[in-house]
Amino acid sequence: MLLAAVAFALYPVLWVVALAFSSHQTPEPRLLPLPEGPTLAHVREVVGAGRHLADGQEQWLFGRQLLNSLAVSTAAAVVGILIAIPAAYALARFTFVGKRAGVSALLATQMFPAVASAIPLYIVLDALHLLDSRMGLVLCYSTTSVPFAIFQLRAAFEAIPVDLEEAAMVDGATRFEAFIRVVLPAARPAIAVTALFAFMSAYNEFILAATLLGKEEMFTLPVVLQRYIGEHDANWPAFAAGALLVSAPVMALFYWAQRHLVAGLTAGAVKG
Amino acid sequence: MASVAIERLGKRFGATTVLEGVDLAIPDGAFAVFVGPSGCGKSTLLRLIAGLERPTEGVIRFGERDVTALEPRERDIAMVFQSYALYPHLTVRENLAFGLKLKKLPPREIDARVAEGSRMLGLDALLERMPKQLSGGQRQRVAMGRAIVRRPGLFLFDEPLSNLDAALRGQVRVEIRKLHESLGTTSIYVTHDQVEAMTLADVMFVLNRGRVEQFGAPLDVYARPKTRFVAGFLGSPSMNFLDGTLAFEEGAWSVEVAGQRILLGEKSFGGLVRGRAVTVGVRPHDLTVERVPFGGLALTLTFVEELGGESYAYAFVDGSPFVVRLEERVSVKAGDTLHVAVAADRVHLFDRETGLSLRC
Amino acid sequence: MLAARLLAFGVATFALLVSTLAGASPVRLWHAYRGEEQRALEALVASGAAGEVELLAVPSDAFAAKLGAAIPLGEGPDLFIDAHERLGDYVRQGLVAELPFDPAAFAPSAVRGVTLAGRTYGIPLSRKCVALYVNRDLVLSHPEWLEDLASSVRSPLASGYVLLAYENRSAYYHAPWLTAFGGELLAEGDRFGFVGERAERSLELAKNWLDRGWVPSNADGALVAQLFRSGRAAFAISGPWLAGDLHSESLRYDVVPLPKVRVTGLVMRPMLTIEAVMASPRGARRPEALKLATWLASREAAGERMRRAHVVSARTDVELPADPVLRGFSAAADSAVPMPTSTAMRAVWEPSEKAIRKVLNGTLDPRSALREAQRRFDDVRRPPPPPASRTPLVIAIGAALIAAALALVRRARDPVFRAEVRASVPAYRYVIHAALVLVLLVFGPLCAGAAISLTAGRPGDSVYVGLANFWAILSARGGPLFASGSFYCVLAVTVAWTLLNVACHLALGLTLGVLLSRPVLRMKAVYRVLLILPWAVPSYVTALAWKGMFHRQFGAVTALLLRARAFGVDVEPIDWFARFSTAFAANVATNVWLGFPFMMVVTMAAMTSLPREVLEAAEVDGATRWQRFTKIVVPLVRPSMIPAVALGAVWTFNMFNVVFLVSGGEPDGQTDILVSEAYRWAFTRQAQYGYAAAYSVLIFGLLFGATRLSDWFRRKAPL
Ligand SMILES: Nc1ncnc2c1ncn2[C@@H]1O[C@H](COP(=O)(O)OP(=O)(O)OP(=O)(O)O)[C@@H](O)[C@H]1O
Ligand SMILES: [Mg+2]
Repeated sequence: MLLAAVAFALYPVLWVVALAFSSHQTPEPRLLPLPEGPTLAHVREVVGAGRHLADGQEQWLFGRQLLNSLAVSTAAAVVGILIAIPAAYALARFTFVGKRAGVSALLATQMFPAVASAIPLYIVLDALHLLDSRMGLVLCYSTTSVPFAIFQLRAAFEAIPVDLEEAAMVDGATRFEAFIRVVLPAARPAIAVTALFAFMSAYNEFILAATLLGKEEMFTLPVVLQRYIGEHDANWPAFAAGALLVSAPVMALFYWAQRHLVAGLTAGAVKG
Repeated sequence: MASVAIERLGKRFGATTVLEGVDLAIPDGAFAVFVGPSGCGKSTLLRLIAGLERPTEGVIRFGERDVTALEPRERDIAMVFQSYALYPHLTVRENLAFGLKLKKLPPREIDARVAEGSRMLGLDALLERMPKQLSGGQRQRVAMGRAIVRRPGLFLFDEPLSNLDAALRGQVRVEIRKLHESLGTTSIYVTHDQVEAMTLADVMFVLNRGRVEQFGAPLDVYARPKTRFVAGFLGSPSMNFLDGTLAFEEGAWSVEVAGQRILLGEKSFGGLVRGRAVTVGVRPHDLTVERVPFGGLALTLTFVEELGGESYAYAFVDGSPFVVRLEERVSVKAGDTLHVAVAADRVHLFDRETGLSLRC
Repeated sequence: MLAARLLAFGVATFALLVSTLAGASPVRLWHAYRGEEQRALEALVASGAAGEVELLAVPSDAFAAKLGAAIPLGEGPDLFIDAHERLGDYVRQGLVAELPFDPAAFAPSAVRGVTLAGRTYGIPLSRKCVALYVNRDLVLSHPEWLEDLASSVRSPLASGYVLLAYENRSAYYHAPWLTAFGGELLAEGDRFGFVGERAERSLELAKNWLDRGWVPSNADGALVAQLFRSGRAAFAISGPWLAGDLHSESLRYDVVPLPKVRVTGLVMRPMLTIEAVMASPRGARRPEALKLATWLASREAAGERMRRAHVVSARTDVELPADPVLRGFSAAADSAVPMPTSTAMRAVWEPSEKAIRKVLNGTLDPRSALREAQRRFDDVRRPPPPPASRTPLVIAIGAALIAAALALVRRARDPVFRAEVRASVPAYRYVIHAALVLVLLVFGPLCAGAAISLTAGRPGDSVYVGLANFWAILSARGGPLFASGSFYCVLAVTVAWTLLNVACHLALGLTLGVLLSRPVLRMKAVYRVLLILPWAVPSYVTALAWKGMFHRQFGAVTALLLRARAFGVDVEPIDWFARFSTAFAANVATNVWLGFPFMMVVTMAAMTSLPREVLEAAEVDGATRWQRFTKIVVPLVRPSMIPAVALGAVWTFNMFNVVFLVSGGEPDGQTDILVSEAYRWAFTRQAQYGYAAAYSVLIFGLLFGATRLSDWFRRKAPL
C-alpha cells in the first residue's frame, strides 16, 4: 500500500528527472522513466546561463538569480510571518470589536479568485514606487501569504496554554514580553512550518516576478525557467533540469522540516 | 511582605456574575486558604488578586498600596499554577531564572538565588533538564521553586497539588507548610480539598457562589459553621441534615423529625421559636450509639461499611440519607435497628429558609 | 499567464500616464528571444555599433503583460521586439508609437504586417512561418502537389511511421489547408471567415488525411518534432524551431514551401508572423533609440542575424546564405499571408479549434461544426451591453453609506459598545499593521477587481453597464440554461470536480496518514519525505508532466496500458482528452496527486493528538484494523480535519492550473471549471474583463454562501 503510494507520488517526478537528463529534445514513449543517453548537458546549460556584456565579457547569471530567489522568498516569508504573528496572536487571545468580521474577511480572501486582484495590486505598487524592485515583490508575496499564515498561527497560539503567559506576567513580564519570550518560543515549530509554506509559495511564483522585475540580474528562478519555453518551441529538457534545480532547495527544506511538519501542523493547518 | 485587603470586590463576565461584594482581609505573613466547590469563583478571586483579571468593581490593597489597577508584574507576587505552566522551551534552570532575568538582576545574584531555591526544593540534579523530561511531582517542585526564587511579597497558589497522586500530595502539603513557616511570606492558596484547607490554613475563607460564606481559623469554622452550606462543605463524611420543627416540652427544647425527637437541652438561645421550621445538622462523628433508646433516633440500617478501625452505618431518616460513624467494632448489619443520640451542644440548627445558623 | 495578462489590462485601464524622460540612460530593449536568436541579438548589441543598450530577455508568456504594465508608467523599454500580430492590441493600448521607415528594401508582406490604418508601427526584422520538412531518407522527390505526398515516398510506410506530421488540431496549422481552398480565418470587416463551403472542404480534406492514417492524431508540437526527428515521419509541417531541434541529429532533410492542392490548384499558404522592432512612445522621442531600431533592421544587421540565428530576414536585399533550410523558409515566407492584426483575431482561435477537433474526432460534420463556431464567434463578439445609468449605483452606494453611518452613530452612543471598543484597544495594537497591509494590498485590490464586473468593453474604452454582465451569465447568455458551456453546466462540472477531488484527497490522505502514524513503521522519515514530494515541486511543472503522461501515443499511461495488453488484457490506447469522462479523470488524477500530501500531513497531525490508549483499548476489545479505522480513528480526527477539508474544497474549486494545463478544457470546454471559464472570457474571447470579473464575483459569492451555510448548519465555527 505504502509502496504503491510512493510509486504514485514519485512517478511523475521521475519523468521530470528522466527528461532533464535525456540527451534528446523530446521524450520517447516508455514506461520506465529512465533517461536515454544520460547527459548533464541540460543541467549545465541551465546552470551556466549567462549573457554577453557590451565589453564582450560573459556575465554569469544563474548564481545571482538563485540568490535573488532565495533572498526574495526568505524576505517574503519573514515579512509575511512578522505581519501575521501579532495578528494571529490577537485573534487567538483577545476578544475585540470587529474580530468576527475580520476573520470572515480573511476567509473571504481565500475564496476570491486571486487573479482578480492582480490588476489593482499593480497600481498600488506603482503608487508606492515599488515597481521593478525586489522590495515590491517581497511585499506582494508576503501579503498574499498573510491570510493563510494567520489562520495557521492562530490555531497554533490557541493550542498554547494561557497559563504560560500568565505565569510570565506574574513573573514580571508585560503582556508583550510574555508574548515574545514565552508564546513565540513555544510556537516555534508552527512558525517554522508556516514560514516554510510562505517561502515555498513565494519561491515558486512566476507571474508577478516576471511582470515586476525589469533586469535580468534581478530575475528569480521561475522566471528564468519560463524563458526556456518559447511561444512555438520549448526546450523541455532544460525546463525540466531547471525545475529540478529550482525544486532542490525546497525539497531540502522539506526534508529538514519533515519532523517538525507534523508537530507544526498539529495545531496549525487543521484549523482553517 | 504585605497584608491583603479586599473591599466590595465584584467580577462579571458579560452577563454572568462570578464574584459579588467580596470583602476580606489577610494579615501580613498569614497563610490564607480559599476553599469552595467547583465553579464558586476561587480561581477568579485569586486571578483578580494576581492582576490577571480586572475587577468590575471594588478595591484590592496590598498593605497600604492600592493595586487594583496595577499590572501583575507591578504587584510583587509569585504564583504557582495548577498546570504548573513551566516554559516548555526553557530548562529548569532557565525557568527558575526567568523572572529574575526580567527584573534585570545581576547574573551572580540570579545564580545564587537559583542555587538556593533548588537546594531548598531538591532540584539540584534536574537543573539542566527540559520540563518534558520531568515527572509530575518534579514539575510541581519546579513551579514552586520558580515562585520562591523571586522572593515576592505574596505567594499565590491555584490548586497546586491537584495533579499529584494522593501520597505525594500529602507529602508536598507538609512541605508547603514548612516552607511557609521558614519564609513567612503571606500566601493565598486555592483548593477545593478540605483536608488541604484545614491543615494548611491560618485563616480559611469558604466561598460559595461568588461570595465569602465564612472565614476564620479552620477549626473555628469547622466547629461553628455559620451556614448550612459551610456545615455541609466541611467534614468527611459530610454532616447529616434533617428537616424538622422546633418544639418546647417539659421545659426543654427539641426538634421533631418524622415523628422522632432530637433533644436540644434546656438552655435557650436566640432564634428558638416554637414551631419554627429548621434544618438539623449532625456530624456522623458526633453521634453515639445508645444501648437503651432515649431521646434519640431509631435508624433502620441499609448498609454498613467496615474500614477496620471504624465503621460507617447508612440509613434513611424521613427520606434523607443519614450516616453514623461507629467507633469501636459494633457488630451491626443491614436491617438492624440502631438507636443513636447526640450531645445537645453538637446539634447544629439552621433556618430552613435562609440556611443561617441559629446559634450565632 | 492569466494574471499577467490581467495585469496588462489593469494597468492600461487604471494607471496614470506618467512619462519620465530619462536623460542619458542607455536605450532599453526588450525581447523574448532564446537560444541562437538571443545570442545573435546580444552579439549585435555588443558590437557597440548603436551606442549603449540595456537588453532584457523576458519570458514570452509575460511579454505583453509586462509591456502593458510598464510602458504607461514610463518604466518600460524604449524599444521592444515582438510579433506583428500583437500590434492591434498595442496600438489600442497606446503602448507603441508610430515608427516610419523606408519600406523599399523590405518584403511587401512584412510591410503590410506592420501597417495599421496607413501607418507603420515598427520596423520588420524577420519573417516566420511554417514550411514542409522532407525526410530525404524516406522521400524520393519533392512533390509539388499535396496529393502526391503519398506516392513520393520511397516504399510503403511501415506501422509506427506517418506520412505527414503536423498539429492537425490547431487552427494555426490548419490555416494553410484553408487558404488552399481560398478561405481565410478572419474575413473582411472582422467577420468570422472560417465558414462556408471552402472551410468545409478544407476540413473534409484534413479529416480524410487523418482517416487514412497519413497524419498522426492528436499531435502536439513535441510529438511532431519527435516523429520527424526519429525519422518516422516522411514529411512534417513545422516552423524554424523544429530545425533547431534537428541540429544534433544525423537526419538528412530538406525544407521547402508548402505544396499546392490539386482540387483547387491553389498553394497552401501558411500564416506569416513578422517580428519587428517597435518603439514605445518614450522610445519614439529618443533619437538614439530610433537610431538603434534602424540599425537593427539594417542590411548589415539582418545579414548577421541570418548567419548566426538562421532566421529569414524581412529585407529583400540581403544575400541568402547557402543554407538550404534558410532558403526553404525564405521561399515559404514569400507565399505566406500575414497574420491579421485586428483584435478580432483573438476571438477566432477558440471556436475554430473546437470545430476542427469536433470534425476530426468525428463528433460533428464540418458544416454544423463550423456553424457552431461562427455562432460562438458572434456570441463573443456581441456588442457590449449598452451603458447603464449610474444613478442606481450611486443611490445604492449612498444608501449603504448612510445606513452604515447611522448604524455606527447608534452604536457609538451605546455605552456598552463604547466600553467594548475601549477594551479592544490593546488587541488593536496587535492587528493594526496586518489590517493596514491587508486592506491596502489584498482587500483593496480585490474590491477594485470586483468593481470591474460592473463594466463592459475592452480595456481603454470600458463603460459602466450595471448588472448586465451578471444578468448575461445567469441567463446563460440567452441560450438554454444547461447547454454545454453555460454557467449552470460549468457550475455542475465544478461542483462534481470539487467533490470528487476532495473525496479522493481525503480517502488517500487519511489512509496514508494513518499508515504513517503507526509507531512500528520502519523508515518512516523516508516514506514521509517521498510522499510529500508532490507538494514540493512547483505545480506548473508537474501538471505539465502529467499532461505528457496522458498523451495518447506516447504517454506513460498509454505505455502502461500496452504493457497490460502483453498480459492478455485487451485495451486500446485511448485519446484521453477526446471524451469528457476520460479528460475529467485525467484532471482529477493530476489534482489528487498534487493535493493528497496536504491531507496526509493534516491527518498525521490530527493523529498525534489521538491518544494511543484509545486505539489499544479498541484492539483489546477485539476490533479489526478496518473497524478501528472507521469506528475510532475517523470519528476522532474528524473535528480537526473539517476546517482543512473546507479549505481544501475552496482551493480545489478555484484550481485553475490543473484544468488549464492538463485538459485545457477539452473536449469542447466540457471539463472547464468556473475559474478557467472566467480566464477564457478574459483572454481568449475578446478581452471581456468585465464579464470575467463578474464570473469571479459569482465564484466568490458561491463559495462564501456555501461556507456560511455549512457554518450555519454546523453551528460550530469558532470565529
Ligand atoms: N473568562 C470567563 N468568562 C466567563 N465565565 C467565566 C470566565 N472565567 C470563569 N468563568 C466562570 O466563573 C465561574 C467561576 O470560575 P472559577 O474558575 O473562578 O471557579 P473555581 O472556583 O476556580 O472552580 P474550580 O474549583 O473548578 O477550579 C465559573 O462558573 C466559570 O464558568
Ligand atoms: Mg479553579
